[in-house]
Amino acid sequence: MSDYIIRTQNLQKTYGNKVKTHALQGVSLEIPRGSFSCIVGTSGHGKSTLLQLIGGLDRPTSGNVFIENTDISTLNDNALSELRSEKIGFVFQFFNLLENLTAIENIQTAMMFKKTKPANKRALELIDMVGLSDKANFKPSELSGGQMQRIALARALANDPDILLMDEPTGNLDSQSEKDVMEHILSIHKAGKTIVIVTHNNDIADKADLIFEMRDGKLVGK
Amino acid sequence: MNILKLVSKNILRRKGRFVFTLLGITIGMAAFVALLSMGNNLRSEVSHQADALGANLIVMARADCPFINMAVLTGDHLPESIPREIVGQIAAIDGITGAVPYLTLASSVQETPVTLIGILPDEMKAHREWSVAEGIYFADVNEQSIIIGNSISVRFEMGVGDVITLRGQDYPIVAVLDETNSNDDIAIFMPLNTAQEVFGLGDYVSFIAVTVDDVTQTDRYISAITNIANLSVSTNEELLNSVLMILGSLEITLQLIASVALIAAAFGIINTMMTAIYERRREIGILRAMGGKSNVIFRVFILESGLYGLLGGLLGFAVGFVVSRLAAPLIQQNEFVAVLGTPDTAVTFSFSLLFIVLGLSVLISIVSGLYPAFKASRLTPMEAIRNV
Repeated sequence: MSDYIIRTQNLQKTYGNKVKTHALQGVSLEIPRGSFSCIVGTSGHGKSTLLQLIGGLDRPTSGNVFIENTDISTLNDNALSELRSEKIGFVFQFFNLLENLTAIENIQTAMMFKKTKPANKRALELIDMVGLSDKANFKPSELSGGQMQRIALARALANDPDILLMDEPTGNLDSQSEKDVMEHILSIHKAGKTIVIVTHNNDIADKADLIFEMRDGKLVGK
Repeated sequence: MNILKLVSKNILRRKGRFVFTLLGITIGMAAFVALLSMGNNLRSEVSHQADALGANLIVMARADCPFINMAVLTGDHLPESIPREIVGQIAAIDGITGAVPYLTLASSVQETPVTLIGILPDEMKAHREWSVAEGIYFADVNEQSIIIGNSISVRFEMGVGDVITLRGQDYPIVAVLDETNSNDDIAIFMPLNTAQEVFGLGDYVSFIAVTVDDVTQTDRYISAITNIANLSVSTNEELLNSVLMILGSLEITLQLIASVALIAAAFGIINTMMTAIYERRREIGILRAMGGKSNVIFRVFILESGLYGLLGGLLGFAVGFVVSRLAAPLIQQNEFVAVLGTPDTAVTFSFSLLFIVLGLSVLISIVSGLYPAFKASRLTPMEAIRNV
């Protein structure tokens, strides 16, 4: 088995038919299992696109993405969904919680796709882990930004994935909330998870084992 | 957490839209239940009344269409082509055991249409095996009085000693018949002579109910009767079929109205689901990102449509049932129903109707939800999330 849990080979992504935008232009990288990596760079240079391709949320125009030794670029839609439910957890800048569900139901919904059991016990453990047991039955609209992101973190861990992909997880938080969320992310990393964060924030990048710098859709530094 | 819980939470998220969409299918199904069940009930009542006249053959004037026959039975139309002496001639035919004349006339009690039937008192009492609940039955063929059916007595709270006004003249009620569970319960009766006199008619009758001793010889009897006069002779079944033909056209009209209501409800569901998909692209993207397969998204939206159908069907059945119960008395005021129906033409609760309604409602809703659900399931995670 490879030491690298994530690998990309000459990854390219082009948007548009008439007017083409080359978001990624031949990105190859390797991320070791259990590492904490950051993808940095200014806006519009392909960081989020790279993260989405790694997570199987989108398909590359050409090139390959390997999760462990599986080339996910060749998987069909159902297999890709299964891979996401089993191996990958996502955290987004704007939390993306389901508004009509409570905090704990948001976590349980993720478990529905892998049929994790006992779902209720595991959801309670996770919500306790992010320090929000008292907010379990609160809806997202009743939570602060930091609290919502901690719930999103717990949701990402619902099916105990090996990889956590986070797109600007603290980009929409005040400094205290940012600190709280980062503490949780670091403790998750210490527990052995592979973490990849897209960020503008140098304080976060400074804590990473690996930093990938993107410019104009290319990897310009490591 | 499971898909059903997720769906129910989704449906209740936008309460206004939920209520209005539900109203659409509820009204559609209520119209379906009320209109069709009233039509069906009328049909079953008519079938039940197939033997109402207690005759094997009905002799009427020749008519061009069943509507005229119906008008004769209800008293709306009075043919003057069956002179009374024909009754005796028919009764004299070998094998005919009875020929009872009816003179049906449209009248009213307390401004409600009621059929008045002129009868030969003794013949009719024997033919219909009537018994008297209250009062004394006609003693004379020329008696200037009225006997009323049991339901008329109950409905209008009338009894012996009360009077009914016909053509400006009061006629006392001398008897109330025992319940017969037939259309006799909702009619009023006068001696034939008196009825002809009150309405200024000649010695004619509307139709003649004929009983025979051998029903396998029907063709022979019909031939014998038509040899006496140029009349229409129908078996009970033929008469029933002509009535059912009229009901058939009524039912088609009701079915068309119900269909339009259901189609409108179906489009309401499609519209709601398409709007829901547009509004919930982000949610679809999140579910897909968490590992939800496209068939899970499809099931979420199909279940949502089906749930609308189930709830709409239940409510529609309840509303339709209540509406048909409320409408029944109004329908009974129609002479057509009055002469054919028993006192209760209202819809009766039926589990089979409930299951049919629920099945149809869920089926329509699911079919309506297929295209929106397919569209939702085709969205890729990033298509959904990127557009937020």
